[in-house]
Amino acid sequence: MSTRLNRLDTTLYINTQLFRITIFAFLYMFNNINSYANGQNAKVSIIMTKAPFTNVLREIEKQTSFRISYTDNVRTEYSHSTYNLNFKEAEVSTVLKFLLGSNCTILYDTQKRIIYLNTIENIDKNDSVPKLNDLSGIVRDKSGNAVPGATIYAKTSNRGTTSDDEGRFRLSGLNRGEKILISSVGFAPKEIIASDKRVIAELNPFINNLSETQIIAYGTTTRRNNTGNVTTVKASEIQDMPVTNPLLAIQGRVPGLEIRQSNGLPGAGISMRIQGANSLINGNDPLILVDGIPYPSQSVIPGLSAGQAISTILGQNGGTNNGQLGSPLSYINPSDIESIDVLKGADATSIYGSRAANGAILITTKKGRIGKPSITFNYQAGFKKLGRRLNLMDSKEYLQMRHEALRNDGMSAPSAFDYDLNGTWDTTVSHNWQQELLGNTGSNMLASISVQSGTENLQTLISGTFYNEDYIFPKYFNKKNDKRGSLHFSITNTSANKKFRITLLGNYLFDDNRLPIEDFVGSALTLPPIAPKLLTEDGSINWQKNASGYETFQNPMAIGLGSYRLKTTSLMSSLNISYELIDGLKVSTNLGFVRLDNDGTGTKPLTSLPPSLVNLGFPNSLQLSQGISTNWNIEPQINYTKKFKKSVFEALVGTTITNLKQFGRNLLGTNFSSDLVIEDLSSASQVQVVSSKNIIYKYNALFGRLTYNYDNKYIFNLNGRRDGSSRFGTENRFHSFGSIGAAWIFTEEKFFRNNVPFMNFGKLRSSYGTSGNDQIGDYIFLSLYSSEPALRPYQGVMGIAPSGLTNPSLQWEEIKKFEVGLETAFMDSRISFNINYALNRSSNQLMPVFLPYSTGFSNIAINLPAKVQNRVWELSISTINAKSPSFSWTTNITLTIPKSKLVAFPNIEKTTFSSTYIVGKSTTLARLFKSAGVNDTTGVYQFYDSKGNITYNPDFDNDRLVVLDLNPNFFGGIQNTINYKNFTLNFSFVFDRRYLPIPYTSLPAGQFNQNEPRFMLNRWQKAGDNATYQKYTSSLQNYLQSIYYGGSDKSYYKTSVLRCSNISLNWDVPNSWKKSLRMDACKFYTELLNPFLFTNNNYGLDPETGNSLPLLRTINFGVRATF
Amino acid sequence: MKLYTNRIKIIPSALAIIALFPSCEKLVDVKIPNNSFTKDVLYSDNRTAIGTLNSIITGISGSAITSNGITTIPILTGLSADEMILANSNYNAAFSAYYQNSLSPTTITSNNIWKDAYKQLYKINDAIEGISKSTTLIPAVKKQLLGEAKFFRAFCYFYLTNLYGDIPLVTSTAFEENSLKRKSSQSDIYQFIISDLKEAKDSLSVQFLDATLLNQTKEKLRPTKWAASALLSRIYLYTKNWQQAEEESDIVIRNTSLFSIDSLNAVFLKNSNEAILQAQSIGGLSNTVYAQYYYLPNGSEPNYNHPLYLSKHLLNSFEVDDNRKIKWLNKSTAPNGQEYWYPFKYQHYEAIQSYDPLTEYYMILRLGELYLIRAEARAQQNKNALALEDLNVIRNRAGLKNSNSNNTSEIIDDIIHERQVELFAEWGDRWLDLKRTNTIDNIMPPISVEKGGQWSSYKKYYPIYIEEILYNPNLTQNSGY
Repeated sequence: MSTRLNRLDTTLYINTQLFRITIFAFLYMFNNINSYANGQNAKVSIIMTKAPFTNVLREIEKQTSFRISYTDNVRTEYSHSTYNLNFKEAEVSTVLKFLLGSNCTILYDTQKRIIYLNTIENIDKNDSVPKLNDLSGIVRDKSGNAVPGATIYAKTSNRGTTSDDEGRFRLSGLNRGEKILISSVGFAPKEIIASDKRVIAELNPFINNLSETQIIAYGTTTRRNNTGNVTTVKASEIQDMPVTNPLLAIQGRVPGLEIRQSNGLPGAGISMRIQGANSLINGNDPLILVDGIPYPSQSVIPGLSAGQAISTILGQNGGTNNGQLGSPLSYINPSDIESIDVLKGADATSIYGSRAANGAILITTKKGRIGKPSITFNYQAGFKKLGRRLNLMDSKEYLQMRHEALRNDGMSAPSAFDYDLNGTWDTTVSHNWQQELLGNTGSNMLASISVQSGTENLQTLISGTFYNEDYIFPKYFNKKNDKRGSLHFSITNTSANKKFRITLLGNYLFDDNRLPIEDFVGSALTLPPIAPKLLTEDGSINWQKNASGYETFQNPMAIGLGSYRLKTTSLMSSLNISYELIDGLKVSTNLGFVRLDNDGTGTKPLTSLPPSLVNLGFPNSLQLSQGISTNWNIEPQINYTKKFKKSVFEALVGTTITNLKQFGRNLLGTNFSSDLVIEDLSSASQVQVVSSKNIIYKYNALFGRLTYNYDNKYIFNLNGRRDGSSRFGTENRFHSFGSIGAAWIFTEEKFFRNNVPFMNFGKLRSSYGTSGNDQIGDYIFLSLYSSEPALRPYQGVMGIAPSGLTNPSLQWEEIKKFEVGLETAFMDSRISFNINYALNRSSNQLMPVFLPYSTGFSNIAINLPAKVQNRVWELSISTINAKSPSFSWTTNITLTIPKSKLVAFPNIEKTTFSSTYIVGKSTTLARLFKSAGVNDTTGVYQFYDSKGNITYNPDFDNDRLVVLDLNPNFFGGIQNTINYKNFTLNFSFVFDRRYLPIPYTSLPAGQFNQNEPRFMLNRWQKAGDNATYQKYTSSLQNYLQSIYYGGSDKSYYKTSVLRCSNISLNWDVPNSWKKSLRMDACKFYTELLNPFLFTNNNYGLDPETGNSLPLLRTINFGVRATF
Repeated sequence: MKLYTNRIKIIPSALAIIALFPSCEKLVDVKIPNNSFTKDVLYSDNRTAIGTLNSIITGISGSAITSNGITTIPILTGLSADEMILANSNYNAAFSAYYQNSLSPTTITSNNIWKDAYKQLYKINDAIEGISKSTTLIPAVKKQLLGEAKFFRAFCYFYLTNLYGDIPLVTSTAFEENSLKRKSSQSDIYQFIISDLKEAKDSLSVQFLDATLLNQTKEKLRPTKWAASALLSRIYLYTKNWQQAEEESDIVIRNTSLFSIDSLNAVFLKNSNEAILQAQSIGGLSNTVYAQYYYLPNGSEPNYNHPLYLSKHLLNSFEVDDNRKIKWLNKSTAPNGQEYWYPFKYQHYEAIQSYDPLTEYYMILRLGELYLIRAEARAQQNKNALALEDLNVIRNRAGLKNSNSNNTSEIIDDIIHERQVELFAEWGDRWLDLKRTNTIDNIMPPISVEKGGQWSSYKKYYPIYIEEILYNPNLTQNSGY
């Protein structure tokens, strides 16, 4: 025990350098070799005569599962002895004592099943510690492959080295009996005792390890000692997954974190919610920090949805405005990420104060390690296909529907506009538009190179990645694709006495994404199978003109002639300087800079417009949108650690100064003399500034944390923060937040250890605290006036108008978080089970309140005492199903059960939300008409009104009788890793169960040029029919009923989805090959994304993305080699 | 190495110590974004202060018809009265309630003019507050701007009280107070309008001003002392102060150097001799929204985009040889032979580019109306000969012979009739005249039935939208609703 305590100070020494943390964490975790006594109880029966020493040992090894390791001294002393033995069912210790006499020590390591033998004089001589001059050895993994670049470190004598390309290392000047730590990324650290001159250290893969480092706010800790709710995903788990957005790789791996992707394109918007949405109308994004620097969760391109040439193809990003499209996180290269830590409860997030009401996601990039220079190449390439298809009507069914629709409308003959029936279109053709528009095979390729080297004082890492993706859309006029390149580097410099350290990190990424303006999915699902072919023989757009020369349909290929090109540059850089003034007192400063540039070019050439519109003078147009977000951040901190007997105190104080600038503008040029010059704004005959944006956000805070750890059993944590944000008026600019957390590692209690031996780890933790939400938009407390852009300003002077009524006393939305969690591990950590209950209540919701118009405006933003509650159960189970040198299988399951509730909303009727929310119900809900099916006489949809009567025209205010909770009932993921010799197989699933809308088209079925899914065949045809869908119509009659039906309970479906998100198979090249190729590591792998999914919802292309481009089925093959 | 570490350890320590000062106001103080202004800045600079008035002028004129705001007054009142026909109620649900005189407190579109007018009033009150306090504006500019603001405040209140009756009188930007304002009586509103216009008359320039408010121009785009007098004469006419109505209109009519009666073709052109105040379109693509909105290409029938045409009541009011029927009306003859007549005062309906010069401006006040005001005011004072003189100026311009009425009551009837055919489709004069002359309850019942509605006397005022009353507990609904 005492040795453990001696090291506690170093354990809590907050340090950002990964390898050292690993070592420290390891130190106080894995020093239990002496404490295990089971080994000597093993029974052996040995009857031998004149047996040499080594033979006896071999016999013991045979009869027990122990290996016996001994020092050179033991060998020298005993190897020439022979023994006569007659033991029956004797304890191993008895036998060994007989063999060795009393001047030897015997150490039993039951975990590793090794018995160490050593002569006593070598371990301990009272006055002087003898030197074990040289220690040499090999570090290898379970399959015997060398582990190059592993860190070998002797704490006492402060010596360290790294293994060479064959896993070999040599340390000199060590003390005998000293503990040597061996660690390498992706492996559990291992401790050996410097007794032998030669060792073979076998490292186990990093699984279920409680000493795994967790990045927390302003520091690190271990899973064992963390009082907060943090889930860590390591690079090794998500490495090589062909995704452009790192968050997609952790979907299903983090309980409590819900990730939804809006479509399957690179750069697409994703919504991230940690433990539900706390704000009713303001931002619900988690705080995102990359190496400690805030990173924007929403892009700043203004007016993306301004409707001109700019496209909404990248999809919603979970923001508050419709203009927030595409995910900025897709501009962080996933392969440069070392770990992603998701911080959830009050204890983990309070120190981030006003920004972390919605949790925090900490992304840590890779850094150089101590080791010989190595270079790693990675290359992967593969294909993408559309996975599922929607079952649509075929030509015959479409025509039948149309004829029936006309009959229902009382039309005896098709009108001049029914081109599909009046002979204008060829009705004998049959197109599969899903095949023609979405059936292409996309491709993708990733190549990266990474060079790293490190001495004790200087570690560097430089890596570069190139990625290319082609889309599945028709490659007709433009080859649309996404190209991205990125550069990452890290330099860490440490002074000789290790007191001063400086780390410089940099990430640069450039992305050139050429997208069509629309994703073709809409056209693929609605174009009738008998629609004309899209291109004429000569390759031009086929408009299938009618007799008077007008186009008979909107050709999707023409839309494809317009393009949306989004060029993005992201630059992130951080500098961390730290100095240990005296033992335990460290000052450090983190300086960071992030710049994200989006440059969008949308073009709508004349060729993309129907010729008749061009004749009417519709112009070609160019929309340029630019968004720049720059953020600098300074965070100086002082950290003090003091140990006192069994207690360890740690104190941290620091301050944050943040400055975020967002600049954006959106220009529209129209009427270019030719499509050829459409990308040149100066060739436009008319240029208009559609919108501009210029925002500065400043943020300053003082924070502190006090941690007290008693004997590694009881841990208390106190966080406090005083925050100031420029988003609030002077009177409410500052606010304090705090939390208290405690953990009790009950398995450290003697009584527990003795009585529940199968449980090797158990921790109960709880925390309570506050954090806030300042995602309310900038300057909204200020009365501001802005220009009214006009093509022809009044007398040349632009109008200026107030933006609205403002409330200078706006306040934070405050959230109170409570959580309690149990973390356990059983049977040598072969099973670990964690459960967390979180109860978060946010109040002081900032919402618009109605005013009479006689005040000039319809509403004003006021903090309302509305209370939103999120109650979340988070579970995770990890098991090691099989574990042997040649075969292992681990499973990890996460499950989240969220429940949101609007607890209170006084005077809800005076707000704009009275028709949206209901007190006592979920905050994510749908209020729907109650469908009364199809009237069997008229064939029209009917509904119940509030009095229970049946009506065709339900009232929006009173008759939305059905309330559905749109939160998932549960969601989660399952990950499996199976190792067999050189093969590793991973397969992951994500699952959820929730109500999803059925993506009906709003027009009644039977319209011209509008195909329908086959399930719409179940329609009313004649009196007495008991049909699901109303009668077909080619006109707009019953249009309202069709709209009401889309807003009725029949438009939602309880959907269960089990999606296989990823399957990967790795093959490690055998050692002999590597040796002959002079490689340190080499693996071939294949990655399969979204190979299949099971669902009971077949109403749309994909349950997650509805009827926008689904997540694509991707297969990639790759090789990763290190030299 | 020792030296190296000693020196460099100062850097993080110093940084930490400097920055560990308590949170500082300065660190979270932000400058205003450079695309926005605060009130202080806005009203301290001549050009930006002028910008606020420009926003008010353009808010009142030329907004999209679809917004149903102040710009839509001629259409909505024309539908409510006997001027215009809505071809199909499905074409525009908002118009349909006005057309069939079936507005109710729950008809959300009954709120549109109200909403728009009070929004402009907020901007106006804000401008008056800001400009009055400003010490940095050039005095002449400040004076003109205050005059303009008061002119437009009177203008907005004139339409609010004529359309809704008694209304809350909002004179500041204090929303807490304004959200609880009780109604003021129509006569109080008129008193307020008159005092605003008198102040405006004193403040406003006697010459038309350019965008700097310092130089003279031929562009009739900003209110002048004459505009204030013109509006004041209309107020006096409505409040039956005949003598003052005559005096104020007389002031304008006698200023022949700026204003004179134009030919029918020229009245609505920009800067016409007849114009007392016009507003310029700020949209790049049309001269006026009205011309584009009313225009029905020959051979076509009313449709979603052009659902209106003129009622036979108006058409039949034109005397046979009235040139206005030729010059200010146009028609489309549908294939079935039916004629759809529509207003053609603004004739330049063609789409233009923002670099094309404008040819027509929105007419806000014009001399023709003042002749008719003076005529009516004179007739009411039994100055029949003078009244006829004024009336005949308008009749003769339209190619009509002098009126041969000779008693006061006949002359007044003639004038009201002349107003119907002279001022149609401009600023809702017909609807307002029907109420002002107390003829509405005689004329509307059959017309309302014709339009598929039912007339009741209370319908002469539009209802106050239900939510307006919900959010202002002191506000009462107009009687009848």
